[in-house]
Amino acid sequence: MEKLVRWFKQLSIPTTFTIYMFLCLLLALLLSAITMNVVENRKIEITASYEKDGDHYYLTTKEGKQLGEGVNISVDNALYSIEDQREMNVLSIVSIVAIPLYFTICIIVASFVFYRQKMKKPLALLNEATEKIANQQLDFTMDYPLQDELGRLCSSFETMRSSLEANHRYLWRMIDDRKQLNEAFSHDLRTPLTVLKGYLDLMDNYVQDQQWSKQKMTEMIATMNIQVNRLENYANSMHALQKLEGMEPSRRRLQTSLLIQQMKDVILILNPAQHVHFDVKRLMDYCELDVDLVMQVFENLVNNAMRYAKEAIHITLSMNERVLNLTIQDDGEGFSRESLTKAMEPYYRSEGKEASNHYGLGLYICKLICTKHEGELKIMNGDQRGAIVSASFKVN
Amino acid sequence: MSKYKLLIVDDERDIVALLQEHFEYKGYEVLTAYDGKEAIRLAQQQPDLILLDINMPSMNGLEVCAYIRSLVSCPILFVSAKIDESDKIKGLSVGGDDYIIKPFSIHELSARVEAHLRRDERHLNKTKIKFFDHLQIDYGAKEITCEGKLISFTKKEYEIIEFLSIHRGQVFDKERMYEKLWGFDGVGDSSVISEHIRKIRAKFAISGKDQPIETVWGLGYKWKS
Repeated sequence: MEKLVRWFKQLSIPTTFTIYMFLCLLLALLLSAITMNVVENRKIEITASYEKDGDHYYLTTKEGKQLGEGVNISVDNALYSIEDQREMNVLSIVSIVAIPLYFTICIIVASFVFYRQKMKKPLALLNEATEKIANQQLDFTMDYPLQDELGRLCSSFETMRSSLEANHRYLWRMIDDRKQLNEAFSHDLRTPLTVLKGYLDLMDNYVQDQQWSKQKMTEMIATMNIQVNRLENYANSMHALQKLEGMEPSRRRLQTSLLIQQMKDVILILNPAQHVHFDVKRLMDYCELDVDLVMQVFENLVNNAMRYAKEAIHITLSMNERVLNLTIQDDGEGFSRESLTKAMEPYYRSEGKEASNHYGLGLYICKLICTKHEGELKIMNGDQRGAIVSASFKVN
Repeated sequence: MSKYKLLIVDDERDIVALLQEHFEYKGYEVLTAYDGKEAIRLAQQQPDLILLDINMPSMNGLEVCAYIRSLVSCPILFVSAKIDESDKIKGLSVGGDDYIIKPFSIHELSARVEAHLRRDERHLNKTKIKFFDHLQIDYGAKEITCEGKLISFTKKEYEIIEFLSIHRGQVFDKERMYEKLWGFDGVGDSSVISEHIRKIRAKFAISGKDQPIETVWGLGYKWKS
């Protein structure tokens, strides 16, 4: 019984409407037939009670046998009693009115039940939802379990609402991330500018006084040159970063063994001083990824590991279903507490600012690439010592 | 007359060299530090004024200032590349006396140092900010007053108010706010944010004025701009 009810409930709207209408018409017909029958019978009864006199005529066969009941023919007195007359009138009215009345009532009842069952709830939900959205409210979900036409409409509406929600969240976070990036960049830009501006200010004054020896001037100019180079490099790095942000990974299907070979080649080229362990686990034969981007992350992480590792670097490559995991662990100092939260931010450097040409973009770029490849970048410290960086990419 | 003693703190050696060059030429005695720890150590020599950079690794300038503010009474001038209003507010609220943006004109910096040494601007306390005519937030004292009357908020409620008001006009969703305020260490989830906001609004409602915190699309919050 439960099953029947459930089956009935998920029928489409036209089907349900047809069924209800059919049932109601059937009912109306039934009621009409019964009523008409009753009315006719009653009429005959009444009429019959007045047929006392008159001649009885009947048909006979050649032999004289009576055929049929015969019929009474009488002069039509038609003098019904008042009650009987009234009753006859009522019966006549009923016979005229009954059929349309039944049909009308049944149709109305059927429509009403149909509306209640199929349309009221989803329409109310849709109404409520539209109002909420008109009031700039996205904090709700539309839940209508049936999958008939209106149910599908509700589902579409919910899809629209949730993608509106996702869009807004994404936009706000992007704005915030962009703000942070700009701040980091602008901040790092201001330092070389400060040095340049400061020395120029000094030179402007002191060149009059001839305060400084030629040697001093030369030193000053050398310092300023370094700062100008820094500015140039920052401008370039920002450009490269923007390009990277704007691009989409171009996935190619390739044999995983080729990928592994490429990685081994890179290790050979980089030639680390430390010992490298390369572990490959559970890989499928083929994978679909943007090789250049993945190799960029690989190189970056290996370079980082080389900078910090003492004696050994462990690289692990594994795959599960749709995700390729690359983990690189070194046995160096590991991440400081501050670095754990900030290392993936743009332009963050843990050691002094002049340390090498490294601008602090490495992990940020890796994170960006992983995200573009629908994966993640995670950093943590190993159980004993050293840092672990784990990059994942969605393949297939 | 004895020379004024300046302590210059910045992790960029070139900038320290630059400032040292200039101020020694001007006749000051110059102490230099390249990180927070060194700065705290040298602060014990009681300089007459401290020039402090904010962005330094391990211990940033704000932390240094908060630490030594009770130990020294000299003016502390922040010299920083962070240029947002919110950074300036933070700087002044931990006890800084001035906030100078990089790149600066060395002459302007010089003039300000001299002014502070003369104690001209010593008690200029710019940590109070007014919003919408009736609301005032003192970021230094961490107090919020509405039409002159002090409203008391819990620590977490104040942190939310400070965060949103400093990033005025910017929208944050609940998860982002939770991350930024109580980081990955925090226990709990972002639904506490809605709870706190509800309580904050209740407190603001007593004043009868418009609410400063707006809900956007039912998903995020912002401080009305």
